[in-house]
Amino acid sequence: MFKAVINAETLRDAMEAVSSLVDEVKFSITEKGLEIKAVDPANVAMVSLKIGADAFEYFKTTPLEIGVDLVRLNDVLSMADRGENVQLELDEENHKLRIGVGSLSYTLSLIDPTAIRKEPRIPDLDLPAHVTLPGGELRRAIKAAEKVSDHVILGVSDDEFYMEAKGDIDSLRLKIPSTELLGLKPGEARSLFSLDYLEDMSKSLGKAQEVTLEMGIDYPLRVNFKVGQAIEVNYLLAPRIEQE
Amino acid sequence: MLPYLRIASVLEEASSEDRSHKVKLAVGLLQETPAEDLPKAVRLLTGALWPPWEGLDMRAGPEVVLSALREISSVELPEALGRAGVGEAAEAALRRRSQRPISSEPLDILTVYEGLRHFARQKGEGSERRKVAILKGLFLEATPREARYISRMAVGGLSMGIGPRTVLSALSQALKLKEEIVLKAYRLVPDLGLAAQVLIKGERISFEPPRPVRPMIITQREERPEGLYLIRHRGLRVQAHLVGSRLHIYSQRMRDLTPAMGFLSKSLEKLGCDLALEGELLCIQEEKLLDRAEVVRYVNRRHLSRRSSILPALDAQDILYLDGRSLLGMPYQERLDLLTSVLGEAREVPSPGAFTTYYRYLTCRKEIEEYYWHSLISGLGGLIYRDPKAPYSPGAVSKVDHYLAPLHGRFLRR
Repeated sequence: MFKAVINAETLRDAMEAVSSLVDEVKFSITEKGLEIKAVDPANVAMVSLKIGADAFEYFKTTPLEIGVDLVRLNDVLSMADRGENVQLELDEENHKLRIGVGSLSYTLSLIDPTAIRKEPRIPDLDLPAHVTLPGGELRRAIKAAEKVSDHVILGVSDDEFYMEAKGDIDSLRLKIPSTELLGLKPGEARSLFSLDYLEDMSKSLGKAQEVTLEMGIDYPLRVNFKVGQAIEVNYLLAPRIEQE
Repeated sequence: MLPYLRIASVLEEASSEDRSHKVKLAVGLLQETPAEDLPKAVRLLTGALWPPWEGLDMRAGPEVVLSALREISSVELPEALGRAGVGEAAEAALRRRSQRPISSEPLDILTVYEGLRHFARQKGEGSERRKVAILKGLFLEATPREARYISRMAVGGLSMGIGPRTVLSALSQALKLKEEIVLKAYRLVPDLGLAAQVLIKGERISFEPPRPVRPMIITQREERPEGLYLIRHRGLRVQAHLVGSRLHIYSQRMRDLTPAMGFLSKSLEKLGCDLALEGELLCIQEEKLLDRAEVVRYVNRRHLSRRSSILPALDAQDILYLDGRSLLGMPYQERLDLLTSVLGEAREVPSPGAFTTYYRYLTCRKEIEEYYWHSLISGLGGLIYRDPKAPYSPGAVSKVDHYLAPLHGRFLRR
């Protein structure tokens, strides 16, 4: 059994954070809330999302897992107006999710959760450097880097966070000293990342007030931020290999 | 779980070996594969990742493979490439990677099998982007040698020389089963992966519509014995399976042709029984019978065929299954009588819908010759001789039934 009511915009923002990387996901629903963990088909990025039960206007469930096509769910959610609530109810017998938006009622066919790619085993990563900055600022930097290259170096040196993008002709360097950051835990960090993925992630993280980046040397990048008060998003992005 | 590298090694070694050595290599591989993974191992060895009637298609050209490789490798790749070159290109590209995966575990056969099936299922808007991502995911975990075979499968051209005969011999040795049992399974369950599954589980090997059987092979001969003579039209030989009011039509290569068969479906679905028929698929337009090329064109248009003014018809020549009972071992005359009781008396061609074939029992050679020449002069494809006592032998060459038709485009001497 699963029955819930949530603000349409909250759910839309949460789903957008996931659908920027994957199309099909498994919702793990417990009395604590709804959780998603998914790896993108290319095995380069991973997303975890938690919507706590208190983010819902109404939430009642037994522990269960359902497979959802996010492209279709987002289509339905796009019909909701600002401030409108969405009713979700699981029809277990017919493997469908009933979605009520105002006077509209949709039924969404569910995917067999066992057919969805399992999240890989990620080793515990102790990423030495942590940087916290406003989401909007990070998004602007990613957009700027995209204009000169398709990959970017993110790093921390001394007391500053830096970003370098080198194209065939142009290059870009951004430096933010610790005094202008919301937080900095200094450590050795320098890794190269694909801007395609960062751009996909930036659509959601750009709306967050605070985004924390955790980095190392040639290590994956971990990005943590919150959507609203009760939705936690966590991205993990594998590095590219720097060529000699 | 068997590592995919083991399959890639066998495929590499087999490419330069003769058949007996290929069998030996395949036996070695199948013997070390856990029983539950054996059907997948068989599929990855042959490159046939699903039964032909499942309707899946890789639908990918070399450019999809090249796009995936460009995103993960720093090797300069050619702008364009033929299907034959993708394996080597992938192998070279993976020797200089430019992207790490989020996690890295050796590829096992399940990951490759599921990944390639997922790849084939992508269709519609954005499917090329998704295909590139899926392939990239497999390449990121692959060794250069594994990438060679994954890329070849992605473009639908494994062509490594591990064909059904080699795999059947290997299955027989690996499972310690007589070759005729393995062959029987493959004839009644005409997909190597499914046949392997049936053999491993020790299930009864039986004909279970809507799964097709391998068609009996009817060759061309000059004999004119006493027996049943059917007209051979210029259509496509098909199997029509009706199970639970749902029709499935399969080509001789067991491709599912059902989407093109709107009119025929209506005609058969009202019969209210479960059955499997074999016959010739014909196409009629303005009361005229169209030639074979038109029939092929019609079925290839699939869903669009429903809008066409062409009406499909089934000249049913045999019944292989009726309401839970396999009729394969029954003499042909009895099968024909059953067919008539289900579909009614023979109808004149062209006539839309499904109907019993028109047949004559002929005894003297002169009569047979005249009937044969009449069929040729009428623009038909000759005759089919069917022995009234003969059973239906799936996948085997019939020792008695045969075609009477002009050899190599020439007319036979009177």
